[in-house]
Amino acid sequence: MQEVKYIRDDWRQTCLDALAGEGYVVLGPMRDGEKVRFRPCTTGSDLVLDQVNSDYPLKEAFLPKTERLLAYTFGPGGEPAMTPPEVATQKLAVLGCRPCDAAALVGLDRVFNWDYEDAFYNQRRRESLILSVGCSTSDDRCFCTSLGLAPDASEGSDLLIQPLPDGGARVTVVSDKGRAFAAAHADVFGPSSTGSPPTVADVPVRLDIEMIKPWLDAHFADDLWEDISLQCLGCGACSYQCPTCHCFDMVDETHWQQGERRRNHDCCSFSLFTRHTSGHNPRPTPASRWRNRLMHKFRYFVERFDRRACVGCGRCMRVCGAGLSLIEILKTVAARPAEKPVQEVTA
Amino acid sequence: MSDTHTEIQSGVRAVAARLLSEGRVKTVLGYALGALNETVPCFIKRAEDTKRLVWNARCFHNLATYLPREHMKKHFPMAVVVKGCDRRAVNMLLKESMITRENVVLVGVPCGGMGEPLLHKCLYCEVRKPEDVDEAIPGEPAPIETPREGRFDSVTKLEQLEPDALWEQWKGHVERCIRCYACRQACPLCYCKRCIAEKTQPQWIESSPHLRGNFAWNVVRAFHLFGRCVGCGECERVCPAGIPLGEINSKLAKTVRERFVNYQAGMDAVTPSPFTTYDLGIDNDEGIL
Amino acid sequence: MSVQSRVEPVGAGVTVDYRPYRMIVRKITDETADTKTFRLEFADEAEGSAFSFKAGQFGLYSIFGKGEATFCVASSPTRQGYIECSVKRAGNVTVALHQLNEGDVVGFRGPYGNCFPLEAMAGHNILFVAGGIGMAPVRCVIWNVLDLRDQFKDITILYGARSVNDLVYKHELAEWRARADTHTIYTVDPGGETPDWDGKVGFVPTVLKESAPSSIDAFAVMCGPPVMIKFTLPVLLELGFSKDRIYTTLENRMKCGVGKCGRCNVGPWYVCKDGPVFTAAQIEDMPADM
Repeated sequence: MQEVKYIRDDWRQTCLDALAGEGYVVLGPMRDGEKVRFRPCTTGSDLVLDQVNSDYPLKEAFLPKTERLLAYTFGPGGEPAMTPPEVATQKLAVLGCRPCDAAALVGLDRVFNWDYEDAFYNQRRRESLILSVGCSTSDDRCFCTSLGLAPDASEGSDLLIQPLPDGGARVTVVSDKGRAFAAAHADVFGPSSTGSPPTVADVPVRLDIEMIKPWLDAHFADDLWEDISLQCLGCGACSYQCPTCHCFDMVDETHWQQGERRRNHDCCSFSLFTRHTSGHNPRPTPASRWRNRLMHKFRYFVERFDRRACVGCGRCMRVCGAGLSLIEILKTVAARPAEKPVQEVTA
Repeated sequence: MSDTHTEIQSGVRAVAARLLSEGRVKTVLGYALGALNETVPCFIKRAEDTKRLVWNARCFHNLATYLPREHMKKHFPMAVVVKGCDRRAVNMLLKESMITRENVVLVGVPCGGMGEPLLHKCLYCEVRKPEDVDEAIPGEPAPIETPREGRFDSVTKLEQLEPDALWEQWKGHVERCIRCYACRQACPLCYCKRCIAEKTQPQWIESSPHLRGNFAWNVVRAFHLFGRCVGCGECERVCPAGIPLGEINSKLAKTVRERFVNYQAGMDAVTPSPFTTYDLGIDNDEGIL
Repeated sequence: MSVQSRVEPVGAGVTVDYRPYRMIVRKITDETADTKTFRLEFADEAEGSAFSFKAGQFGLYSIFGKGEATFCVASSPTRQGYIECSVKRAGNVTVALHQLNEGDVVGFRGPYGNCFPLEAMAGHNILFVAGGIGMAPVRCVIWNVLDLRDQFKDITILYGARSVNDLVYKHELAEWRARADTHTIYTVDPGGETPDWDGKVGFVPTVLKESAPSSIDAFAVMCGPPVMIKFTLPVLLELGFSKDRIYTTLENRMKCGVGKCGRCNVGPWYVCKDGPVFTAAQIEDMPADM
């Protein structure tokens, strides 16, 4: 049974101050031009929580769209020397992510720590404290409940904050880290409250997710891939704004006598993603790339990490310039019989 | 949806059904309602499915963008529903030999503008009834009030900013770019099989989505569209970073008009494009007419 | 084939920071018009002494300023103090690699991936079949086996290339042929022979069928261009080799090499983690994603 605490009045500022007091740099959903993105925050009223979700995903905080892996310089004879990158020393806290984004971190933790442990992801993630804010509203692109999550789910959070209609917030203590933080700030996290409970958004279950993997297991070759990929523009918007997508590229950038090796996000929808230097491309068509995308999220990731690479946040549908809907695609799959086709057709 | 919309919608459905059942085309590319009631592009193969086609004030997509794609070829001949701006894009694709006229059946739709309130581009549209189409859907586009602001007023305001101020404003926008290339993929004129941003021998544009790389990408793309962009505004609509790409393209469109005697891209399929036309007979001071 | 059962968590608990070893180019050998072999030594001797790998594993070799490229380690793990890679000039990084001189510095990240099961092959016969530059990973296993010769029974090497000039490791081909404890069959494609060529003339699958090496108590280690694999595999099966005893090594476009960047997967399997060494049985299970 998870412990429950309450914050009186201005929970945003009191949390920010408590976190800052412990030396955390706090990232919260902030306005950046027309969009909402996780940025350092010190003023509670700057947090943008009146949107269903931030435009940019939380993953940016731990897996930035671009980061330096190492630097190098060239000596007078052209001989290269490496400089290791600076290690991030700031502790990161997140205040105001939604439960879906917090749950997505659990998947990313597995990717970056299964087998080898990724130094760059971990140096940001290991010390981090996640204070998510539950959802009181949703839209028709949210489908967390179809994936076993919820607008008040706590997976991936250290503390789950739910603002109360009468002011203040209810806080569910989720993890040991969260418990320690709440205990250290007993003046902020009080024992009880009377008053109305938090509003929890109503996110209807839209499909039977258990129908998906069996169909994917048996239908590597199928007309569906061609049908979806016709409409797809072939950009990377869905992947980049997805809180669980993690594919990356590594490149060298040089300017005269120095340069750096960087890691940049990348997307399996791009035509050159798997193209060999020889010219051979294992996934040469939009259909084969769309197949890989869906397979990866709902089959391969499940087989390797025992969870889906999707949290139902809906961003892919909000950003898709071609109007594709993952909910609709999954519903189409869920409605199909899962038996292996009689005639195995090679792709 | 207005009565005009309903009429036009019926017209589109009837034409599409006829083209498919006569075997004139293999595919009809038009607009339909998606699962969440938004209007989306759709590819229709059977005459009985043409009742899915719609026409309303949210038919934003420029369907011409699908035409030059390699994997579309097996779906030709294809009928495409085109608004005026889309028709201009088709003209450019024809001029640049990216599609063969015989492979497409153009279904021209009279357009009263998209969006509520109307999109900026629609306020100044000069091609409300697309010309030189194979099937012209009958109907009169709803009248559009002449806007008070001039078409390039916002661009002029930007031109008047001090360079430092302009940089500050645009730095914020460009930093947010995530190099998803949605702008490129949505643009009918960005059809290169291997984009300049994807070349490595040599590498012209840094692929990293930092400020420097993003500026290089966005500026080079704008330059590659100089005199070619038809102002459909799709790039700005699809940008997940909310970058006002339309301003850049408007600035360049304004420059093209000033320097090349009122040239506008895609008004027909024959006028030589500035920047992509090499002709010693043209007097550059006179510009291209 | 379950994904979990194939994973050998070689990196469990090991931090990866993508920093390569600093390597010095000690020797460059021209193999063919567009292929060179590089012998690399660790700039830091302590790193070199501590370094070990298994036959079949690969690494990411880098030219600072250009990037990284993936190649198997082509030298045997029994040879201490250096590693070798054979590189065909093709793109950005390999063009830069081909411009290197002895003494130049490159980077190496590895060893990554799984390996050929030499322990299982001990006490058995081994048939090696390679085509063209596909000989590079096979050569690693050949020398590993020959350096431990008495652990294995009969060794047969069948190697072919498009032409005499396209054969790699020409000196070593002669060394292997000269050995009494190794049976060699070399071939070039029809039209690829020179007047003084005394090996066979014919495509590798054809020559394999004609030579018909015994499959009794034998493993096969095979690598070559996709078209060669496509026609060689059926011949091996006809000869009676078991699908679980035919090994090959796959390649795919790679970046991280450690199962995180999501690029090299063939269906659910990462070539960098579940491979690059796979059996014919496992490949049969794989979707047409390569």
